[in-house]
Amino acid sequence: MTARLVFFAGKGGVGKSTLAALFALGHAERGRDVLLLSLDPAHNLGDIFGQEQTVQPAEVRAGLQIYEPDIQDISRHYLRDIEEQLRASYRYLTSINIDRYFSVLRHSPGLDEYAMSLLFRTTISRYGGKDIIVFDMPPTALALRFFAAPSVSTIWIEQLIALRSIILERKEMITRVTLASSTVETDKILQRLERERTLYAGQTEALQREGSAIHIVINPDELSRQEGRRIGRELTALNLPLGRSMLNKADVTAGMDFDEELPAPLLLPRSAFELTGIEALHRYLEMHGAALLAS
Amino acid sequence: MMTLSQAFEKLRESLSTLDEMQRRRAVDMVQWEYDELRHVFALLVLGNAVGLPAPPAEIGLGLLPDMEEELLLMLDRLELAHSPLSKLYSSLPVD
Repeated sequence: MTARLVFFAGKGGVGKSTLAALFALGHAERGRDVLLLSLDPAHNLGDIFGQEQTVQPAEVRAGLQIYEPDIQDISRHYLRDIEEQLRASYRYLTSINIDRYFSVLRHSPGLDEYAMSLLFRTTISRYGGKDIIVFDMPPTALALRFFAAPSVSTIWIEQLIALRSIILERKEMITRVTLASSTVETDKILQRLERERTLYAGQTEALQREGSAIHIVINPDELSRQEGRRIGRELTALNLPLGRSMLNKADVTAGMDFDEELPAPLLLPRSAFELTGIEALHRYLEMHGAALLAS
Repeated sequence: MMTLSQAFEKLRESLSTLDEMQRRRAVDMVQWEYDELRHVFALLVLGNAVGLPAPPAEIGLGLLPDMEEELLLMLDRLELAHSPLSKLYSSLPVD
């Protein structure tokens, strides 16, 4: 049994966390075992469920755990781990000023999405036995970088593996001729690259897994729709499973114009009451939850 | 006066030295290509250190602990930066 993965993406402030919370709660109420995870560095699942930030998965009701890990903390841990490996590997650390070089990389813009990738891999391996894992995504730019990370990194990794293989071929040739031996020691760099390629392939497979979907949350305004279209185009180009476009805070009397650039729309009316706390979420689900849970 | 066995031993040593020389000469070009390929690899992985487009940060960071030799090769190349052709001329059969 592998968990179904459901993502809620969209422009900042459109209500991704609220819809993710409604979706997760609705399925838990129907007897499924659900993990609701926030990949947004600015978490608010705890606020929605009336809890403190839950840096470890915490049960908010039977069958529903919420989890708001600290993405920055994962980056810091990763960098500390690399730093320790560097100190162990390099004898010339101070003379070639690795410390300075390393501190430059510490501010590399790519690390947030890598921390998200690490978290994603750990989560699907540790909580793969759940029925559903719901992901509350960060705003568009970071979410798209996360979704694109496996394909972008794999292009680099493939090229580096190809080059490394040629290097090892030459090394073997030199060893064979000069030492009359064809024994070439295992190349740690090639091993690392191959391991990372396998991990990214697993990540892509999980994203494309049957039953998984990336829903695009929009509001009844042109800016969020524009961004929704952009997300749709990017996900299609990445061959990732597009779910529904969810028009949150909709005026149901006005309906929604058909937008051929967005996936099939689902209207979720503006709530007349504050959507915080399990009771309020449950009330909203009773009124408007059926279509959301069917998506 | 050298005995026959001593003569054979001398001959064997000479042939061995000759063999080693020929083997070294045979791989000179491959060795040069090998160093250049490793240099290109280091530049691709750690290019951001010298202002080149770089792979996603985690790739460079992940490989860094095992790239001591490549990094030293890059530093070595920096020393040659002012005479880029000297290495090439010393490796290629150019008169």
